[in-house]
Amino acid sequence: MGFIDNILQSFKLGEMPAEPLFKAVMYGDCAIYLQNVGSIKSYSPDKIELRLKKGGLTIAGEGLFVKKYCAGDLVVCGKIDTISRI
Amino acid sequence: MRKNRHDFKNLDLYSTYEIKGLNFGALLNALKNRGITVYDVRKTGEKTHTVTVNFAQNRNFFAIAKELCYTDIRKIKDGGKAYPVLFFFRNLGLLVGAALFLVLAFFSCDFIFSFSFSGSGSVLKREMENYLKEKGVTQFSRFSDIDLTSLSDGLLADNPRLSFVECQRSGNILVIESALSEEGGKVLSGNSERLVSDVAGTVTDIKIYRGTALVKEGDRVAAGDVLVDGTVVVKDVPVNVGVIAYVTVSAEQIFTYVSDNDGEESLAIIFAEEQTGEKDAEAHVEKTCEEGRFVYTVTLVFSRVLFAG
Repeated sequence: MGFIDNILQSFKLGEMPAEPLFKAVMYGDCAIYLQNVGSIKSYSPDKIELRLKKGGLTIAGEGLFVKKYCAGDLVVCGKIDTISRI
Repeated sequence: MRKNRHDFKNLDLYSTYEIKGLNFGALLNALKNRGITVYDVRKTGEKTHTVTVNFAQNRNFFAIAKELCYTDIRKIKDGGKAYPVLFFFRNLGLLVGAALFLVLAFFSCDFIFSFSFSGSGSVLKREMENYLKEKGVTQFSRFSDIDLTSLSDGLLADNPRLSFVECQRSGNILVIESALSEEGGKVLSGNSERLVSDVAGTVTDIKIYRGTALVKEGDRVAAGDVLVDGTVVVKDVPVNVGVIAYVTVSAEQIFTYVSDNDGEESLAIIFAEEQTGEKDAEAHVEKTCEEGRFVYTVTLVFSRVLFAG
């Protein structure tokens, strides 16, 4: 069992369907990789608003741009200051 | 837009567009929902964005953009590792032109456009040009038809006044570097009264610019014979002029070298060459044994250019 799976088990999240969950991996403060993104609500170089299956996510920073966007996967690059769940 | 009749799916190609319009997020979502991957989405102005898509998905991209009423779309560039393929595909004329240019360049490189004569032997340029003409080496001859080494040897053999000839190719120029032989290098003064042979042999070549020839090609001459005289007859009146002429004599001289040791052929040749002063003579050695001593008979054959002027 992997580390993430262990954590999910500990918080009793193991039985939850994977689809509604979004995953985010940050690479320092210069990039973020997101899985299971619903859509892009708005885009500007200092703020990107995303819709998820449940709720939303706001990425704020400077010089943000979408490096890659396809099939629910999104890579945002730039100087990322905050990520907030809506 | 040019229709993509050919499939570039498997090639690493992309196109970058500049799009003007509001609610850009809707376009991105529509593209994602239709399976089009977008790269490098950036905001470049108030209503302007740039977006990069796979080249193979260009048509779908335009269709979706138009569907959403994005009509102000401008292609900025095409790129990718396979871009050269696309470039040549779009510019077949250029490719054909480049190939034609290379073929023409290859063939034109093979032609002689001019001759260049260098070195002290270049004073004999006209004679060398005549030889080249005889051998069919003229302007626009092909380098590939000429063996430069044998041409050099031929030029040297043709003119006894030359001691060195080397033909080289420099671009489209045939460079002929030559050096006069020591005899041929004398400066003309025009004061010689006659040309006298200093060796015995056969006359192989004779050229007279001023004076009267007393021998002709093929004549046997002895050392001390007058070959060209400075007396000419003008309107039945003998007149003395300065001789300007050169005569080539093929000489054969025999030397004998006696030694107590066997195997001294090379020494015998050196001895003979020292006696005549001819370093490039053709030498033949015959060895006999007489009364316990070795007798080396060296025959030297050389060409002596006699010059007066």
